Amino acid sequence: MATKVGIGISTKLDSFIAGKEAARSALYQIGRQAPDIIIVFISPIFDQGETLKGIRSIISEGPLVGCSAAGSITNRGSFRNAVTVCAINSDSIRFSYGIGNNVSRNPRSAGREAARQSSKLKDIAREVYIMFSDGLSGNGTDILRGAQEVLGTGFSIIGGSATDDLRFQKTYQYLNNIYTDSLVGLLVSGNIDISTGKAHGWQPIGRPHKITRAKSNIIKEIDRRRAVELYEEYLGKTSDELKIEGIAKLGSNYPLGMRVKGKERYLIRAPLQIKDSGSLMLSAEIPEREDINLMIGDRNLALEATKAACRDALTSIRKSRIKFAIVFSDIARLQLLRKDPQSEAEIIKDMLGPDVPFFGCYTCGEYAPVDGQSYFHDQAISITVISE
Amino acid sequence: MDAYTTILFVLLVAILSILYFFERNRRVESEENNKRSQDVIRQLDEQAKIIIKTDLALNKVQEELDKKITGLYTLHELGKKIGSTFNVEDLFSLINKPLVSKLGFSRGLIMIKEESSGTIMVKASIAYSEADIKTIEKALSKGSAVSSLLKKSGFLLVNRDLEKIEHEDLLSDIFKTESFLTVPIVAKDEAVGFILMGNISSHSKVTEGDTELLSILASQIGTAIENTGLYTELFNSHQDLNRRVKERTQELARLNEELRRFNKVKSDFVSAVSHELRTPLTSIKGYASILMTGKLGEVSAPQKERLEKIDKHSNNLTRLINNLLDIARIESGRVQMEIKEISIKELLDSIIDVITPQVKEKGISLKINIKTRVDKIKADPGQLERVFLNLLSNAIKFTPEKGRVTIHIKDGRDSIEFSVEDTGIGIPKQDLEKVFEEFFRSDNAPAQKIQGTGLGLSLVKKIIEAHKGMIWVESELGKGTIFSFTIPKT
Repeated sequence: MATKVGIGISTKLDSFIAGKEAARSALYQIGRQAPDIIIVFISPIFDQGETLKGIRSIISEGPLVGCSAAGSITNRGSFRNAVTVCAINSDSIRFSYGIGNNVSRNPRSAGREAARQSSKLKDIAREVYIMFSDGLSGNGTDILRGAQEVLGTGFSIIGGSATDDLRFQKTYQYLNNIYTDSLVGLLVSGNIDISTGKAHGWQPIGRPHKITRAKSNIIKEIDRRRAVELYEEYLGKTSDELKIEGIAKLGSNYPLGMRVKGKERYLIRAPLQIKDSGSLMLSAEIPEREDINLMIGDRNLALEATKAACRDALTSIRKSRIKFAIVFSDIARLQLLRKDPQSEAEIIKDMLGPDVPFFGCYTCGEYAPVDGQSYFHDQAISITVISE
Repeated sequence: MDAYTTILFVLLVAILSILYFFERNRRVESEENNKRSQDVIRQLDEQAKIIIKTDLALNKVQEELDKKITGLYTLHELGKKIGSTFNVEDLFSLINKPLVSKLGFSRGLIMIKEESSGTIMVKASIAYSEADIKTIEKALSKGSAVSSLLKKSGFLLVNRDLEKIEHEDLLSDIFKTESFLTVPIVAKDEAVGFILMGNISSHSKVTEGDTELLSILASQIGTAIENTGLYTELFNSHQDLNRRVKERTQELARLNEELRRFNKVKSDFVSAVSHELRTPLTSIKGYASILMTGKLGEVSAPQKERLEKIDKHSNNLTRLINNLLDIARIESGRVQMEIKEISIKELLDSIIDVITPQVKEKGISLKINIKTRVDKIKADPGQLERVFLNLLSNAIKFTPEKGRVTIHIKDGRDSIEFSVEDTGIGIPKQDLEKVFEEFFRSDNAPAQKIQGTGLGLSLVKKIIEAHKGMIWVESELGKGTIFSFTIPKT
């Protein structure tokens, strides 16, 4: 059994050429064999269409999936404003894929549709499902529920939401073509073992608050006051200022944390939008009556989380048999790491071993399993190792 | 109620009072503790707010710094590319979406004034459609806005919320941005256009802090436009020069070909005439000899004198004709050099044998100066001997009695260099270039007195060239002449 993984990266400031360069490098690493799957991450600074054309000018065959991302994180380092192409050729792993559109209108249905299309392969053990979803238009938890309706709540689902590098205008998903307001799913099957570790490293700051009115991913009231007042108070800005500067951008550094019942850990939710009524739209839902805290992070906490996620992923797997790993790290973490995102890539490399190829991207919300069930997390890092 | 009951009642009241007292104290204390805790929490919460606000401010500063560093780094990288661009169109193609995004903008535009029409045209655009471009060009062609965009210095920062109506249309509407910044592009001390960078989102506004980056970019573009202009001029003049050189070369080649043709005609003519002359000349010489013997009747002394003159001039004419024929043959390639390995020493011995009587006759000292260890060379022995005899007999002829003639032989780079040096009358400077021409005779008075056909040196040159060697002359009037030639070593 052999699985070859080629990872090509280009930061050339010409979309077509960058696509071509990254594709050529990836193809070369898998011995110029036809890839079974091509996973692509393109930063929003590039012309998406031209970049895909560049990639296809080198790798004309093979299914292509992926999403727009602020940057990529690989065993070759962390790259912002880059085109990243991962080509996988394997005789033991099978890939099937699907797409769900109109996420903003019906996230659950889109999640269900993509999972249904991806489940077409029969008679082979399904191991993990990777989702690349629009990070601006939908409720991540609902997308996940849709996928779980098809695959089961106990099935391992990983992935993340596409970003446009904190511009919060438009993100893209790829399934041979370019889509927006969609999600692309990739089901990985075969005689393989997978293990996922996840952590976020955010710490609560200030006193706890109670969600007094909420519906799905819209929080209407916190402590019986308009939800936006929480951010007005802590950030010292008016609602209009928060709108102008962008609550999504400001809030990514100070997300909300919901204490998981009976546990010491917090589930993170980032604000995406301020509604006219003063409600907050989050990346995923928080139910009414939950206690929440404003959270804060720093570089060291972010790197500690990277280590914790790696440790988690390695607990139930034999390190020597790892073929490759997939990483989804939140863009908010990239903000915390600022000019030193390489440390994160270095930590993963050290912990997985120098010869293990890994790839992934900076996302705006992550899907990862915790205690046997997948959740939509925010501002976190998930590392999934795949071994034969 | 007896006394006992009363005491019990009083005791109970006292106990209850004490308990009440303690409970009340406890409650007060608990409320105070609670209040203190609330205060601490409130204080901590206030501190948390201060921490967050400070963190937010620091983040903002850091973000602006990061943006500036990224921008400067991007411009530095772009500068390297611009420096190696010699074409204006290539230059504009460098201003693309990735670059504009990396600098932190979502829309970009470069507009340049057309030299011929004076209208301002879009040369590079990012995130604008063809229709947008047409609208922009049309709006700027009729309005007065263009003058404010083409000021030689300064910048224009426009924010839609704050824009005042100064022109026919709002500039924010023309450029379809929420905020934008323009900086003029100056080349040859004149604003030739402007660069615009803007954002379509009201969340990320272009600020005055962006001016610095854009000014650097505009200055890079202005310099590059100047440079590409200079380069184009240089390139065009180079092309023109090349074209003229090519034309002249073709003309020269044509003339050369014509000359070669004339030369061939001349050689053929000389060859034909020489052949035609040689036959009657042989008869003349033959009959003169028979007459001189007296077999056809007694020859008187004056007759004999005339006959001897016929014989002598016939010999001169024969030599002249033979030389002419040889030159014609070498030129036409009819005579091939019979190259073989020969010894320089043996060649010199044989030449000296021939030349000694003439040397002795004029009391000239003949010296040989050999500065090479090479003895064997590849040459046609007969022809090389002819070269030496020609040069030496010239040297002897033009050197006064008791003069000196020296043969020098030394190593050249890839050849052996032979020279024949004399202390003769020398050749006037103006004649040096012509000595190898056929039938050339110097106007120099002493030279005029000495007989010659004017073909010897021409023949020598042809022979040396047929050996792939070179020949040249150096001379000083009244002091002497050096004829030198080379024969390749291999």
